[in-house]
Amino acid sequence: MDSVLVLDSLSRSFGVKRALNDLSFEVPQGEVFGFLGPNGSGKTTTMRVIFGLLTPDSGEVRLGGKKVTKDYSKHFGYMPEERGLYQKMTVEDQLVYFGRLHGLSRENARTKALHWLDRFGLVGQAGSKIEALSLGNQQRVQLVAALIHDPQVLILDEPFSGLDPIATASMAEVMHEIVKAGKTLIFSSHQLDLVESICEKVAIIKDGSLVAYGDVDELTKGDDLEIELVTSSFDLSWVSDVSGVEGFSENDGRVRVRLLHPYVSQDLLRAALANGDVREFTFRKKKLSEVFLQAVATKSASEDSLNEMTSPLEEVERA
Amino acid sequence: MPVYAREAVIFVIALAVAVTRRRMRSNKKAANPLEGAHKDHLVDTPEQAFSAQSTPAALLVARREISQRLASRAYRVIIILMVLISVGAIAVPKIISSSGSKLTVATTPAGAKELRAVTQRVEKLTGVNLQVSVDASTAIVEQSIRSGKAAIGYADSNLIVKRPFAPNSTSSTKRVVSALSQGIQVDKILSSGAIRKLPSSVVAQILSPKPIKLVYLLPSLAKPKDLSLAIVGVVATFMLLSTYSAWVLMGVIEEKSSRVIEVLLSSISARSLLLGKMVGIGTAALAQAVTAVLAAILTTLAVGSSLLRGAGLEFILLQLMWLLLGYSFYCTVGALAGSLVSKVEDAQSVTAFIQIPLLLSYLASFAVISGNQNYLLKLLAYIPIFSPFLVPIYWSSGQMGLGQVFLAVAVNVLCLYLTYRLASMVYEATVFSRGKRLKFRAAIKLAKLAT
Repeated sequence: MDSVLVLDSLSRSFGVKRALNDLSFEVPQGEVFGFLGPNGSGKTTTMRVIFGLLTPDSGEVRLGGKKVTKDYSKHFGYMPEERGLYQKMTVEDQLVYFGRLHGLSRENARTKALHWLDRFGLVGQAGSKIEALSLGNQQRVQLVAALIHDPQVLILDEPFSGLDPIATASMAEVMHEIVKAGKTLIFSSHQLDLVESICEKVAIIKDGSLVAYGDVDELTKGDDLEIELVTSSFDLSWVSDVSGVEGFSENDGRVRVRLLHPYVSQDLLRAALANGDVREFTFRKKKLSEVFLQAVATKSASEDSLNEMTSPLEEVERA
Repeated sequence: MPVYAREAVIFVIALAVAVTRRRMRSNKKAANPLEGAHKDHLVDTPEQAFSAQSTPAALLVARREISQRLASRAYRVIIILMVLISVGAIAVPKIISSSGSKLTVATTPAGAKELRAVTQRVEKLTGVNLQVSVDASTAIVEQSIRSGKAAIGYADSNLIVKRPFAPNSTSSTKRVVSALSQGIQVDKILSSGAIRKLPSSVVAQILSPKPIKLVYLLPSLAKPKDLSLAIVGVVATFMLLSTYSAWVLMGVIEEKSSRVIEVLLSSISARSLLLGKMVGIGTAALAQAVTAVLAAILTTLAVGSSLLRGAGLEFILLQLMWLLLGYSFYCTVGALAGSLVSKVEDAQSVTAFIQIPLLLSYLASFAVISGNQNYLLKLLAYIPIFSPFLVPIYWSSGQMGLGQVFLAVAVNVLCLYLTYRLASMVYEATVFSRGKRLKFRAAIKLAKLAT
């Protein structure tokens, strides 16, 4: 699939702090792309650089092969981590205002606002003030504000932050709908299980550098030395009798077996079938959270202490 | 042309273009709204995108600010209060003065007869009730006036008042003095009996007699020609500038703290946003001030007040112009101050940037109104912090000529340009700043780093 967005050797410093350090990766078109990293790793800075809100010290961002400048902002929709809405304005007025700032006519902005509000089940709230909406609905309105000018790429900074499980599921559904409509969606989140279930590809950064990147399936693929099985057998003593089994554990009916060599799996399967009905037998995949922890733990703990975009005063004073 | 000056020029041109385009668009309704959206959305080149987008976006920001202000209860309450104050300040004194005010006229025994002969006619003519008090001597009459027991004295064929009247004064004392002067002189001529032998042309001259010599006990104060207008001007300027600069300051902080700024800056430049915000709030502010002035003018016409006669109208127009200049300067300072903090709860720590200069200007204004002739105060009138308050007072009191007013305007415009430039640099550089309040010096360093 074509890469719609390319980040090429991006570096950006604030005073003495290097927020981005030669960061490069590609985001394929029409996919949900997860952008992960611990606090202060440079995620927000990267997002701001992508659509021209910040200028990199070196490197460039390319969209469809062309270098992105500030004037390409129309091709991006952005939703900040904290809700960026005028609390006293009505939903419709606000969306029309944002649409018009992106160059739409009043009529078009209104048409598109009502269209997206209808799709998100909020058309009845068009005349309500933002402050009167629930957090989940405010989040949806914020998403419509990012979508209203029909951008190619949507950048969502922590879209699930502060949402309850129902609102989270609803937001995930909405994100899938957006991708189905042909848009590319980049989002950051600390809810890694959610990222694993939504995203096709992820990038993990730490201290402004890329530490892991690729398909979620590839990154979470195990080493073929762990098997998870579900069996009808209550007595599991046969497991340790299989030659080449390093050890095993059982939790809530699922047995996790550690092997010395991948080919032992066949012996294990035969033994399992001989001792009862086998309902599930799979090589165990890693959780994305494990991948994340492994990736960000590669550097020294002292480097973790820098906070992202703290006070500019501190940065200036350090400078 | 520098980018800031160019922005202002482009803004005005874009305003005219936007109005024209809007009129043209209203005539042709788009058959397919989605087609229109697509057309609007496409931008061929970055250059086209910039020229087509940046300045109209500032207009949109301005329009949002205006509509939000108009919809706010605080705005409506202030406008009602201003209208009530304008109407009250003009109508109430007029109503009081026309509904039987009283004046005491002190005189000597020798003058009492002449005075009593004209009292009734003067009361009828001026609508002021006169009380005649007879003192033993001219010296005692003068003492009565000095102590305030009497407003006017009549002794030794002279009328006596405490101080000279302001040239455009419409006070009841001045009207009574004028009527007494004419009445006593006419009576003297009529009582001589010589009038019957005179031709009619001479009689006509007699009926407009030479006024009685007017004696002033004290020199006039160096007050503005119309003290009430100057005081109203100072108080209104203080109130409006405090309110509107605080609006800009809070607007900047709220957008930063709520992160709306990030959404906005994805489609508009920081400078256009700041310009739009200032123009929007300024327009709302001017609408309030013009409404109050219109209410004042209509009340003046309705109650027949002499407020707008003479220099009154010029003073109001000059005050409006200085209100606009003062607004531009103080709101720019408000934007600069707002850029230093990122949380609404920290706003208090930067309001001093506006409130202290405003308070100093307010105090300086009353020093001038009360007759302080300090040369330093005259110099302060050229500094933008003080100019909106001091220039109208100095001009209306005749202590500042048209050339000096122009010089003050030039100094203010130059300082405004430099302040706006600084404010937009700092605003742009600190737009993503979080955490504790920035010191001014640190903000300047950040702005330098950003450029």
